[in-house]
Amino acid sequence: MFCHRHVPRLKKLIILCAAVLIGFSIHGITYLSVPKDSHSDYDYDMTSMGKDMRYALTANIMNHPEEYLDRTIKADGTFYAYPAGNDHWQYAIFISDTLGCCSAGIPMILSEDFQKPENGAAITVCGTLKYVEYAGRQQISLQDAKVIVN
Amino acid sequence: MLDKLMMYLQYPFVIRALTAGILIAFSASLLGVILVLRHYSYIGDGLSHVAFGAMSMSYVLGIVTQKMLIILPITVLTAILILRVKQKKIQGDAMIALLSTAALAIGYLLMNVFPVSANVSSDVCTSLFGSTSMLTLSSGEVWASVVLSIAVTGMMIFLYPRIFAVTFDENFAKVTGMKTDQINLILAVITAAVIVLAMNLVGSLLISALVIFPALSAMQIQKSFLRVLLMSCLLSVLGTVAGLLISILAGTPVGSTIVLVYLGIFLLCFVIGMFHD
Repeated sequence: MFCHRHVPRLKKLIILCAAVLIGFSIHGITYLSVPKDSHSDYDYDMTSMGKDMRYALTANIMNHPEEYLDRTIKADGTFYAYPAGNDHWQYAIFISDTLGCCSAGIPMILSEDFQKPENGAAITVCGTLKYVEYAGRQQISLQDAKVIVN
Repeated sequence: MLDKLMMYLQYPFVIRALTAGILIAFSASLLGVILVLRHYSYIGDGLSHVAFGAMSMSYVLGIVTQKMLIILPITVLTAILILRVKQKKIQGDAMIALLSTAALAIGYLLMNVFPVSANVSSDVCTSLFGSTSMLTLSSGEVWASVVLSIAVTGMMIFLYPRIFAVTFDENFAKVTGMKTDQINLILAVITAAVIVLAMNLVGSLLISALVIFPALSAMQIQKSFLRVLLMSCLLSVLGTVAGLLISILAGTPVGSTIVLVYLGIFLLCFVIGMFHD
């Protein structure tokens, strides 16, 4: 079943596989693309995605904001307003996965023409992702957010 | 459908998920053949439960961002305990059952008694079933997968004859003067590292599938150790890529979709193997 003549062959095969995989990985880690949803007016139209993909995209926007800066998005989720000190209120859209056990939120700055919805309202929002300063630090937010209560 | 797939394949987080998935599947399948042949198929399940317990400890201690500092050492120590320590009164499978159920109970208890995180259900869901953690990986976690796959590949290349000997007849290997304890120690450390990282892929309850399905599938259609090893890697990587892409397109959970694809591959190999025989 086994003899030592197999070893050099195994080494070559495994080294070849490992080299291909590592090359692919470096591409994967350094990959930054500018995808555009060809079926929508927005760069990311979350309303046409599955719930897990919506949650994953939202979590990635918050964890890797540099990859999503200046992109336009359309998303549906739950509206929340919460106090952020000095009579200031921060607004956000929360998006959950299929089972509803994981949620992630994107802060929003509402467009002047749009009214603040009730807390917990199901909304659809569209806007552009920009850095905004909150409490002395840069945070990605959905600027000029146009909210529609579903 | 193809348009949608091509669009998703441009998302950086999908590329990260595919990269880490392929690397972890590759590492787990290489290790899986050895573990299945040594009758340690359930070690993945056991160690992942221990890792869950350790993760709960890191939450309670408030070091969530550096949780690997707690998870990895505890899981490695448990792997050493299972793979190296030969107890006369407690056999290998009983030891796995003992440690895994105890760790799972401790972990869940800690999370309930000290609910430091506001979102405990999310933490439990993610660590047990993987949830969408595969699609929310950081670059650091992908780099960890790269380092791990290099370590596993290096181990297989440089220690192949010794691992082979220890896998098939440890007593004979010991009699011939081979340092089997060292090999077992290396295997234990690598196994623990693979399990901890694979938790990100499918969650701790489904981790055994990553370790045993590709090895068992390959064993149905190949007979030599080398061919089983290579076939196992191939099936594992194919199964992971197919499962991940199906889950993204169909909106199904990543972990269970990958496992069901593995099951399909196993059944196919089983039928082919019957005709082969």
